[in-house]
Amino acid sequence: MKLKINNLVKKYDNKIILDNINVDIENTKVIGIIGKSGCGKSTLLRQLATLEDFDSGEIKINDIELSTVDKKKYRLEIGYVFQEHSLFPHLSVEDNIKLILEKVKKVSKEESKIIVQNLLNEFSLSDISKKLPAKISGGQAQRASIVRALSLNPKLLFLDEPTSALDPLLTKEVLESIKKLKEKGMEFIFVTHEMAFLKEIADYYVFMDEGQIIESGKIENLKESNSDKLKKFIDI
Amino acid sequence: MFKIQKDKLGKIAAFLLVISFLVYIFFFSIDNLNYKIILQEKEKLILALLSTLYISIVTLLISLISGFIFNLFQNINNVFFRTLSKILREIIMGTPLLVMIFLIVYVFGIRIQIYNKTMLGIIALSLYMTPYMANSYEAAMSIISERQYLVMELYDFNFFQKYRYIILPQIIKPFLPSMINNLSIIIKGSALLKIISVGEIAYIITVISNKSYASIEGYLVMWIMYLIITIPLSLLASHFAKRFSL
Repeated sequence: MKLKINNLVKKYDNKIILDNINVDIENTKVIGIIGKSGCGKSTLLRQLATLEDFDSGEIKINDIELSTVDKKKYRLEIGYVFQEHSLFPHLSVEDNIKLILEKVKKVSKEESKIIVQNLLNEFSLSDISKKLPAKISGGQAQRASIVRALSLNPKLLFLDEPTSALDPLLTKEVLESIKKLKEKGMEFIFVTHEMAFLKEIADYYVFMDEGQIIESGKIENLKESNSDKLKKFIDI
Repeated sequence: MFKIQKDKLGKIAAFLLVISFLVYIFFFSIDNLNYKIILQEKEKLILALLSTLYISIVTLLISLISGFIFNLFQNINNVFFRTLSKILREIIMGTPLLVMIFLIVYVFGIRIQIYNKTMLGIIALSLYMTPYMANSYEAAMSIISERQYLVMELYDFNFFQKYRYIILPQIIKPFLPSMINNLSIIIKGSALLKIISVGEIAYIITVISNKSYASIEGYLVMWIMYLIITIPLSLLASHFAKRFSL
């Protein structure tokens, strides 16, 4: 993955949330964004997924310029997992995935059945495929959200603190699923506050504070950081 | 156990009190009440009841659609339509139904040369109910989370797909009680159509009672006929509200 951000600024009601962000990353599969709550990491992820428009600057992902990209086409190539599961509550786990595949992306019923079955098997969700989101655990629902994002075979996946709404036990099962993504060679960018998970999964880290990137680098260099803020954050 | 019995007794006592009150009003409040004069026109009364139901159901169907469109305009990105719908909402909600009926029949109707009073009455009622129905949609749609809209945007759902597969299936349950309450309002409001001589309950009973100088009996029968329709609807709304409470 190539990620290049130049002078990115994002404001909400004239309040600067992302303040002149610059980063240049190449040949990396998994990027982890860390930082305190409210530092702008989720906002940055939403800009990368074109869920919001930024005010100024430039973002290039794999040489695709996001400010001019055809959003519809771009979104076909990405997946996004929100902080809390984003399954439609009136549809079963299986139908949540099938709906996107069949009605929105016009995949044939036969093909979607195979895709859904394979993914649910792979993520150990076959037993709950007919259940509504309200009838399964938060961890299962979040894993189902990941499966739904994967069902379209995205080239790049965004995960916005996918375990922040879960208790430690459920967090573990979701993190295991994300590990599986890495094993499959999937490219993804995730926001997290789980330092152990960042170290285990990410190839590259980006540390943010007050809307700015304080430090970024290869994960093996995290311990040698010069930033007091980052050192303090890691201690937390 | 004791509390359940106490609750039951309380309910029975309340029902008995109301029934006694109604019996008093209907049979003893005024001397020489003669319901025969009204009830002997049974066929006309049944037709009037059916007419009221017809007007109310057609109004409901039209206002379901117009309320939906109105709600869309209220939430649209286009400032012109959003502002227009807000202004219209304030004007319609501030207009008494009686005035609305007069405006539609004697201003709008004459201008476009429609003289079918039932149709104009239905238009007036539908127009009056549109912002109320739009409010019902708005309240029901508040159960759709921001995240669901983001997912729909991410997966590029078109307008039809959003409503057909995600929004409508979820809002039907919370919308039902409110819709039934609106139907009750329409049925009661339809009584005002008597001022333009539409043959619904209020008009037919007024005609019958005027012929026989039995206006008190007429209003009492009218009251009962409306209650026969509206009380079951109200109970149905409460049932749905309880069953589908979120």
